[in-house]
Amino acid sequence: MRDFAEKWTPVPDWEKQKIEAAGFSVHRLFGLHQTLISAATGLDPVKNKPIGWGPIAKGNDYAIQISRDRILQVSDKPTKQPFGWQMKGFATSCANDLYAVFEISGKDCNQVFARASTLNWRGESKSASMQFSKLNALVYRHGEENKLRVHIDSPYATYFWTWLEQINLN
Amino acid sequence: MTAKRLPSGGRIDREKPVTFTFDGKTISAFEGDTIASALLAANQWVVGRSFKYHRPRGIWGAGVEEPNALVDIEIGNRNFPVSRATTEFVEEGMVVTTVNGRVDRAAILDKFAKFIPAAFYYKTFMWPDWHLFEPYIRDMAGLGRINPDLPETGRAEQINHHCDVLVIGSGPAGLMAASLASKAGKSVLLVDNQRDLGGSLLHMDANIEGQGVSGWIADKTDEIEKSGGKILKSTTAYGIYDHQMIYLNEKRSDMARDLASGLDCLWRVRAGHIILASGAIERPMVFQNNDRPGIMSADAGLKYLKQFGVLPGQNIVIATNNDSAYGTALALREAGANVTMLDSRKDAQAEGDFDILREKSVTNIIGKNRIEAVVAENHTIKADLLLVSGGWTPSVHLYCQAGGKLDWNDTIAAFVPRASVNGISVIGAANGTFELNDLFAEAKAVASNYGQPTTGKNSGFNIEPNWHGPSAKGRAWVDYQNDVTIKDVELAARENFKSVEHLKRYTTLGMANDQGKTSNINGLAAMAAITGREIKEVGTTTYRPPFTPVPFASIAGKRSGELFNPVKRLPLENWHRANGASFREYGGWLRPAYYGKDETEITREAKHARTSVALFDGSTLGKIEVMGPDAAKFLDFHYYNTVSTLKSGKIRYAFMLTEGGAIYDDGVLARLSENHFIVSCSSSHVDGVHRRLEMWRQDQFDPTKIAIHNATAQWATLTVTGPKSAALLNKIDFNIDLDDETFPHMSIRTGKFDGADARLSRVSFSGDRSYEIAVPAHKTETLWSQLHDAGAEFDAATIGVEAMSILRAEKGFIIIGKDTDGTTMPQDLGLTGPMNKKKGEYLGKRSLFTENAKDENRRQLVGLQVAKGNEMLITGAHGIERDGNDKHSIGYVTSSYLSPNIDKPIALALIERGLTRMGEEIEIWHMGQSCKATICAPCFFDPSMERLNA
Repeated sequence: MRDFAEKWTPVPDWEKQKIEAAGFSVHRLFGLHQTLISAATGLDPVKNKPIGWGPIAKGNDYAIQISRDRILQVSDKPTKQPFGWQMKGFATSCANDLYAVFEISGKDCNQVFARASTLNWRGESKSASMQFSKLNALVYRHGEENKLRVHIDSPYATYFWTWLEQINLN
Repeated sequence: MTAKRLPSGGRIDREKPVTFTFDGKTISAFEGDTIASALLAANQWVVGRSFKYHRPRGIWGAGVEEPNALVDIEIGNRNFPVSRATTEFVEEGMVVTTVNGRVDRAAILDKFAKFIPAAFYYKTFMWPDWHLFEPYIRDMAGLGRINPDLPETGRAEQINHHCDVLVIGSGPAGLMAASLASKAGKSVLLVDNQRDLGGSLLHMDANIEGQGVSGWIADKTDEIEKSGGKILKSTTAYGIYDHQMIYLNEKRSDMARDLASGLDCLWRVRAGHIILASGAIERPMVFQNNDRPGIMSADAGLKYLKQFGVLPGQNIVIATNNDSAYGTALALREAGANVTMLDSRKDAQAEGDFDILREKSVTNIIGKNRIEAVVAENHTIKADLLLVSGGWTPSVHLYCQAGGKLDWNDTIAAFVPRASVNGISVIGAANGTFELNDLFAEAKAVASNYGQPTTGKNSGFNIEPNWHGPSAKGRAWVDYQNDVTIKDVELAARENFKSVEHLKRYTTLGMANDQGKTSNINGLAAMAAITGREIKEVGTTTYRPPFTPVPFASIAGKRSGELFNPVKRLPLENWHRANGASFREYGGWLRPAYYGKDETEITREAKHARTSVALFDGSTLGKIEVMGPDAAKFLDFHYYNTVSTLKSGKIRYAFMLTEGGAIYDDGVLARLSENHFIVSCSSSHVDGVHRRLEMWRQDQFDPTKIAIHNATAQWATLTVTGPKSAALLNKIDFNIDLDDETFPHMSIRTGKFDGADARLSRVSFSGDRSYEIAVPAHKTETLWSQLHDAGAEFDAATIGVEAMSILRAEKGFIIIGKDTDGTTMPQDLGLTGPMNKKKGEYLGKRSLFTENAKDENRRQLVGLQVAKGNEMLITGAHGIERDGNDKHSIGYVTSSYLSPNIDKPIALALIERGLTRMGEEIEIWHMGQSCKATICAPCFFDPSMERLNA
């Protein structure tokens, strides 16, 4: 029986992985607390208006719009609420390990984006959900115009890293 | 001889000589030469042989329209089959071979042309069997060879781009439009399939806005770039797709570049507006033996002179039906050639410093491997080159791909765009406008006010078409590349294939990789004449992408190897690798199949699991959270079994059915609380189940009362199974009472592990006492490590998927898609309770009561026993019944193993009426061999299920 491990690059040591290329750099972020929230229309269980693609998220406590009634709360502090269905009419689930989070930055960040997504770098969308390097991802600006945060399903993190490593903007 | 390189002129770099070989012969060229221009300069006339009749062929054109000069190119360790010699630039060391050129003996086929007209293969070579002849016919007719010994050609880049205006074509109209749009503040992308901008201006003389062509092109380019516009050269816009997505293929590098750098770049462009300035293609004329080497388009003759410094002949005849060829004649005369013009028009006024025979058409060619003389009715003119201008066909492909309709324009004898297509404007020669002032006016109009201009008046064009009529003599070619003659068109008409789409398929006219660029109009004009219709009544075929062939590498992009179909990775993958796991791909995940030196470990693992305790990484199992006051009602709709009666803290095994009643997924459902369920579906179905749940949540139920979160990757699931599993777990602190009374089989408890939430489930896929522990993925290594440390006392062993597959088969537990197929219904597994008793609607319900569902001969899940000492059955082997010499299948083996715990082969199978045939011996057939097996219950081990609590 063939050992398929030889087909696939091993999972990297994430603490040590960085890409420093001409025009952009990438590293994985740890320590973010992520909470999936499904909320009925009209309820606002988070204090910050969720953002989609286009606007710039600021600071360490913000919300990302996934769909009309679903957001991802991102914070540097753990949520105090227990997970599950809340009597106020919304549901929460822990997503700390569900999404692997990567940060892409640099003057050529838009060139990386152009290779990963069919969306318009200059455009806007209410949702941050998009196809990014053929993965379902949440992508938004954080802190500045040329810095992206990308949340992908964590089992695909190794694929995503392999894809990033082959980018050559020259 | 005839063709020669002039001592000066052209855009080649005479300081940089290049050599390459052509069919083994060394050819000298210069940087900037195409293979075709270099061959012409070397006086090489036969550049290939035709597809069917293997007639010698020469170069016709100078661009993408070329039908004859197709070559295979090898350079370095790269291979480019069936390339156009007219568009590939020479590189040092290229090895160029003709397509079909080597098989000279096949030229005898031309003598049998009468017997192999269009579609001959539908009528001949039938007896005794077409397949006897097919390989030889295909081998003789094939184009090009791929060298299988060379490595792959490298990976192409793919880039997505957005702009306000995309201009396709950098001839005068395109450059003007791009410049104006850029200066007006639009973001502009200008593309051209040539290496240099300028289009037809590159081989024409003109004074534009007070300057020569080169200066004007440079100025416009500068204006575009200074205004922020982007320019892509060597880039072909090859297709428009839905919502005006347009695909470009950019040729980025020389062929010799190493594999790592890749070759081309695919651009996906969304433009606010597209301006199509793609020019027009000159048409051949149709006359006897019009396919001989030494016959070329007039525009190509001019291009070889002006761009490559090659005088393609000394005694040149030019046959024309319009004014455009006169400029070519003059240029060739000035370069030193003798020129004779044959102008077929009755009222032509054009003049020139060369002989002109008016109202004369070419009727035949003398010469076989190259032209020796041109016969024009009762004149025979010695010639070494015939240039032909039969009119111009606007390149409207992309406009038509986008749904644009065409009108026949008698002034230019061509189809032109009829009306505006949303988001696209067609200008210049592509719009049938040939005069410079008119096309500039169009460019100015669309750059500021998108729309579709009317075709220019073209008062100086003056064409009188002379389509080849049905009465003309001899063999006259319409489609060079597929060897289609007028006689083939006549045959199609006789056999009633008169519509243009039938004409195309019956004769293959326009179906080669030139896609009829030089043949379509002549073909449909001939059909019109033969059937007494006007050309516009015949119409054109449907335009489809790509405009020119696109390398598969561009379409694939980086998606090969690991990037093609990536697998999901386990949190513990590196631990498994370090501990001797051999991996396989299961349901989209990379998982350990077994641990150790070889497959014999599988049996060891399966035996060990039943004797002490085994640890198994089951992190792939679904964990979809369904929450809300309507969650129970919602899940009742999705499941065959009733789940709303499940109490908090309990687990139920349940099926999801398709709307056709077949089992889609099986799994366990856990209820954490009144409003909180976990759907633990099978690993490979997580995405599908999630999609299904979400679709119905939005479509059928109140979405404010149900929330669905796919939290599969949030939680790792580690399984501890075996008689000593409870003892092991008691060594780990979960803050959960593990006593059987408080924690019975098929229940779930929540606790803590190392400060994080933990969930323990008592479910069993092995049939033994078993626990599935779910912890956040970042705690997996910690838990796994503690389980191994604590497990040492109990001789715990790690097992892989293969061993677990044996264990579950011993118990008769199914794997969806292996022990069920797309038709298996719950009653086929003997599970009829919900079907008979469950109230309310659920997915698939009505299909369970169809005639098909009640058929008594349905295949049902059973076990199969073979005698001890016999070999195990082959998965996929069929159960058969014989009827004389015939046999028919009554089902097949779905799972088969050598069970180490029963010490004999076991198998599961789907057999007709299986549930009513217990104890019956049946015949099993596989690859010509047969054996006997006895139908039994699918559970081979511990049928009383005592080991669940052992």
